[in-house]
Amino acid sequence: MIDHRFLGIPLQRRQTRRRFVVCYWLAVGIALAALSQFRMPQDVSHWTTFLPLLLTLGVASNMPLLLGGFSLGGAVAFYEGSRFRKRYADPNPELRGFAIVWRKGWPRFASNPERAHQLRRFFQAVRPVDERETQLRDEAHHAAHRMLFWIIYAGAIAYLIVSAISQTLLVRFGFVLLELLLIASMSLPQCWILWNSPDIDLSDRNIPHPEAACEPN
Amino acid sequence: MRAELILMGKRIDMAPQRHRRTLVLLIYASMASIMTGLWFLDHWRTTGAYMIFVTIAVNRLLLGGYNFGGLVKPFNEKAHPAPEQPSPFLLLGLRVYRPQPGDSEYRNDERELQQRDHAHYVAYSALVAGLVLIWFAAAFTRVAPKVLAATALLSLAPNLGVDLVYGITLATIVISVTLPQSILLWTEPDMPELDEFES
Repeated sequence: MIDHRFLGIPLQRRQTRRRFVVCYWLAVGIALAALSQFRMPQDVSHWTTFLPLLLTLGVASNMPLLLGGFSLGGAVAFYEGSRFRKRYADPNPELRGFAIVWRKGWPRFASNPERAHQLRRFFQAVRPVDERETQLRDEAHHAAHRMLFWIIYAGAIAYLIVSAISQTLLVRFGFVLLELLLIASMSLPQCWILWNSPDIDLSDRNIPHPEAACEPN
Repeated sequence: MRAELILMGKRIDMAPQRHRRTLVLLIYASMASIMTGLWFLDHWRTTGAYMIFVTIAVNRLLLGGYNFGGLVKPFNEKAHPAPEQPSPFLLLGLRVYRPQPGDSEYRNDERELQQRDHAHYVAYSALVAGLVLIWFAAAFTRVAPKVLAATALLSLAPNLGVDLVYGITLATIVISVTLPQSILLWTEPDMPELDEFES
């Protein structure tokens, strides 16, 4: 389920993964704090330019690029057998999944041995989850559902308190809270998995180093 | 999951999947009707909070899961908090004394825990979709006055955008605490009859 190396960071050790999760949430916190400093756009024309920017930040930053889970790429995979095939199947098994994202860039990508090795590792990570991983994924969603409930509960109380203090703050706070909820809803299960999964044993994977793979026989 | 529902003193057999699916459909149809009725009443200004109470009652009496009672065992595997001291004799005389539930009434076995987690996995997508819808509805509140003015609907529904956000939020809350139980009731196959089970 968990890619053992992502963006050059080895994720076999739980401690590293936990740091990864903490860094992710720190980045989210800083981004939200920065967003809250913007003046809320009152004009529709400003709003329409502001909205896609925030949507991109909320959705694109955590799924395909960092955490994975609901989409292809990222550190965690969610989909089991049939659902995986339905989403990512490709007639050419070598291009399975990956082709959907970078189909046009394939020849250039594969011609480089280092990149080809990365691609092999990517295919090993992008695979249907097995039974144990499915259980872990489901458990993560149960935990995330519970956490999300408490976040909404805490947010609603905070919203009521802020509404009693200042209407200007309320508009700004409500907006940031909604953004936080969106990001949290799309990243909590992945974070739970990264946080709680034990250390990965890579001894049975037998992944050759790219230099070794390039050596003549 | 319990195979029997006691409603207003009547025992209803919930072993067949057909019965459980009918119950789920009835619950959501009723809640949709109540919500629509409340919108016509005062646009959920005051009555919106009542939907939360309706949801708690539905969980408590019919679905279970997030409240003790109902068909599905509590998700948190905790018994309903009951007073440790014996109830007054008056309550015993009125037969409203509730004894401490047995372990089998709130402890989930391994299979039930797996089913619970999977139901949450399936329901989670609906929750995320609800939040995304709230987001879009919040955006619509900004655009709504201009759009509605163009279509001459502004006079008919001046607060349509705000109502939309509030309505979707309420619906998301209701769905988030009822959907996992509904998925369990919907997908669980027919339970064996007691005779079959014994044989």
